[in-house]
Amino acid sequence: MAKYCKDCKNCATFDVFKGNCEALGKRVILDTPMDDCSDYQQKEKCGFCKYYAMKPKEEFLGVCRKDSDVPDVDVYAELVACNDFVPSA
Amino acid sequence: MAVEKEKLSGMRLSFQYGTPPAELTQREIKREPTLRAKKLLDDYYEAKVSLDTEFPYWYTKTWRENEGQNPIIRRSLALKSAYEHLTPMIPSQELLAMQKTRFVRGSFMMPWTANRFALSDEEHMAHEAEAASLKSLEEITVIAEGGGNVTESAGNVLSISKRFGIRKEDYAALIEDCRYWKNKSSEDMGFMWGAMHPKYDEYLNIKKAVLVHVDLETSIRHGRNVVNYQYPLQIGFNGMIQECKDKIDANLNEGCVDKIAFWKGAINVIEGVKTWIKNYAKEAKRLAGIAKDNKAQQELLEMSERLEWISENPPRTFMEALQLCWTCHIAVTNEIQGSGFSPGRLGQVLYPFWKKDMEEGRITREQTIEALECMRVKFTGIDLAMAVGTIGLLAGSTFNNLCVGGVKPDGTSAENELEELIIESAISCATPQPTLTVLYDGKLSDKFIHKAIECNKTGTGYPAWVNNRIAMEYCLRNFRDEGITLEDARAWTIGGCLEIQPGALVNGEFGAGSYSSTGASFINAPKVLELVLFDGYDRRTKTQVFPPHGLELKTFEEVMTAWQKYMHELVVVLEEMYNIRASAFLEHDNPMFYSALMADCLETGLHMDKGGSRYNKCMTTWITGQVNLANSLASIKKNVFDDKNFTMDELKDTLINNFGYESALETGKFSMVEQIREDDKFAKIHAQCVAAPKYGNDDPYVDEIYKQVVEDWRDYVSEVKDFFGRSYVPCQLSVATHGPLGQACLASADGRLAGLTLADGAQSPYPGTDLNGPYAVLNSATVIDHSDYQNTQLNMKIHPSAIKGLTGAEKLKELIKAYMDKGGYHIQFNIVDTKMLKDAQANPQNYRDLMVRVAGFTQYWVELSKPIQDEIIARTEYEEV
Repeated sequence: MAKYCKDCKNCATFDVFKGNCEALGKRVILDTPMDDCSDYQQKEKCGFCKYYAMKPKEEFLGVCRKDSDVPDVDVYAELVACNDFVPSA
Repeated sequence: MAVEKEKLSGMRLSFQYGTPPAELTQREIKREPTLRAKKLLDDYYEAKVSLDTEFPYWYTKTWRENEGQNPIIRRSLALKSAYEHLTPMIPSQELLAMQKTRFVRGSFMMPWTANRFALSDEEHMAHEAEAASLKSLEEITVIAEGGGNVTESAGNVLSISKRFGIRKEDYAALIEDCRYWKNKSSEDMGFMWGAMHPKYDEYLNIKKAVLVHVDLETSIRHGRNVVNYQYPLQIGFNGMIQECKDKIDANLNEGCVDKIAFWKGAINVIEGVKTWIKNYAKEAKRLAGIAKDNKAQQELLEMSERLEWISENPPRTFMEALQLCWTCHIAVTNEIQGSGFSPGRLGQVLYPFWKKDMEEGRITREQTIEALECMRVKFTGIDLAMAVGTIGLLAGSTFNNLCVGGVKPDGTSAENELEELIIESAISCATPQPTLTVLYDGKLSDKFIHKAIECNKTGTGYPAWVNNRIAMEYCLRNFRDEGITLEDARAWTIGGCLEIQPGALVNGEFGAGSYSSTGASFINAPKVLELVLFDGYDRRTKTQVFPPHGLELKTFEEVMTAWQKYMHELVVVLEEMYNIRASAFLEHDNPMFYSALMADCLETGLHMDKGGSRYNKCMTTWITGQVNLANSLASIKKNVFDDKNFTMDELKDTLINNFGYESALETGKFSMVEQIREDDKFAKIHAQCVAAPKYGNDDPYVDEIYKQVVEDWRDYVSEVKDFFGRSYVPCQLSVATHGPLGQACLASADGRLAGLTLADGAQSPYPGTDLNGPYAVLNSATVIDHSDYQNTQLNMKIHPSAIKGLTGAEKLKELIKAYMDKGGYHIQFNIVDTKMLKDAQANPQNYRDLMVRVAGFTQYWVELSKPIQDEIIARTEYEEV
């Protein structure tokens, strides 16, 4: 999976285009590919969680299947994950 | 010159603004902010207006999970959840923490309030008639292209309303929420409920013709009010929660379920705000752990400790009190889709904390200025996610008014050292928010007045000057039925642009306690006369808006009779419809945290929508372009009836043909300057129209007409009762509606061409028509009794050289005093050189930080639309006062 600044734990939001990299101490463009960045640490977002399942025909919307006893909960890939976050494989 | 470092699909991303020519921007007073504030301000300049989805996602999710709950409890749980899930973000060097979203300049939609602009395509299908009328407003609303506006989609960012950027991956979630709220949002319900009015079709035609600018009422109902900080300042959030618990215990056996629900709901929402603050405290602590230097680490630890303390307790220091006030303020803006939430008399509210800190050596004046500067940047970062039409109306402003001066509850001058520092911070850190207003009173010292004039000389457009005595008179008269005290009247302040709000003392301290409303807005005054001339028919949209009046208009009296008939009809239909549509907000969109703060809601157990505030007569109706209306009527009286220069039919033919000029849409110029005449056939009539008497010259011929039309409108406004059973209140203020409303008008008999921006404010002459000097304007402006209105508004443009030095300052002081002595309510000044404004229009990249006064508010030049820029350039510039 391609890595981008926007998906990195070190990237604090600034606006919809930019973030602040806490590791490098500078402004970054969120959509900058970061495959070669040694400081990259994946954010805990629903989209990166093993309980996340994409909705059919939806690129960014999904459901959480953490609890099999209750109906699926609507979430979206960018949502900040809860304490039950488990990285997907 | 500007340098574009990075580009993404044409969107300029880098923060690099150029330098304007020095000879154009010289200021007698110019100071720099502290380094900290400068850094935060530079961040702001760089940031694009960004939409977030966290709040709407969690609100909607929790709302859906609580179906069947008591509506107040359900709303409070949704709000609590939303506050608790906001991701904290603290920029480096921040002194005051917390903002609306995790973006520097961010906002979010509240689809439970208004969802139509995000679903506009679907709404076009489902509500074709209404969508068409909305579109007509959108078509004529021009959004500025500069500054932080995201005017086009770029890369993975979509543009909404030509202003907000939202990431594609977030947009999907937002639209999902918007779809849920379809036919459930206050806006949708308001549209549906509106159909119960027998004249609903007429109302739709009124909207379609842009006879009113009603976009505001469909999406924003609260605002133009002051946030009351006194309860958390005096007893802290824990104290407020305990008070609610005590009230519940004491009232459980009284059968008042609504009150129990409110107190319980207040507890929920206060708990949500507490968690939000604690999350910021944790984030500050985390950042302290990775801080690269000791100073930053120490500051972050102090911030964390401050936040942790105020999340539970009343503040002990000035900095804690300032942080708490800011937190409450931003929490209110997150809860309610409101415009014009103001800090009011913050210098009075915070003074006891500051004085104690100064006496005990905990803070210096320099530290105070730095903190106040940081507060200014925070206020400027507030944004409101709205539809195009509303953004055009508001010109992107959020109208947070901070007032200084006035008198104390005991009637003595209220000026203090902290207020002087508030003015000083507004000089050194020039930002549009919070705008500054001096409550002018004869008891203010010369020193204080000169300090405020020093601020005027920076050219930022603030402070505005308002008449303390007129405002108190307004309060004592309007809130007499609600038992207003003299002390509360003296503690009055401004909520929004200039709107008078009574004070509400809480244990003797300055507080706020009035209901808030954006009101029924904005009547297009000259358009009403246009419909009179064409017998109720709007030529622009080819719509019969009103039934034909049936008068032949053979005399001036007949013209006035027809105008009165149409204006009366318009006001009544507008206000009755507003009652119906606004009442949809009462269903599930009630202010909870806002109410918990407001005096006396917790005491009465009633939230604001139930009339729990101390004062409630606050529903207003607004008007724009009354000066153009008066000038046009004067021209008709003079040219058609008195001097018989031309007939009414000749005038109508001339107006249809725009006096032989190209249209504003063709020329792209929205003032009378540099217009192009295509056909000389109408030149003579145009010259006669232009030469007719004009308001602003102390000429009774036209001033008497102005007085009559304004007072007729005032009387119609108060005929209708609001949903509290109190009469509506007239409010004279244009905000930025004089741009789009002007575009909906044909040429008018005053010589104004079709589509041109109308006169700004309420008492401002039409640009270029006031020829007898500023004192003549003051005389024209005071033919009406200003205390009859929630506010009035007069703008003046003065060349900086006219008020230079001590002599110049004295001249300005005398001008202000003269207006106040004559009974004027408000006056404000653009102290700018028109040449600079023209250069700024041609080279906006050099003027990122240039601010101008529009109509009751200051805004960045580059974030104003061209019709408004043109109007400001065209305003008469006085070289002598």
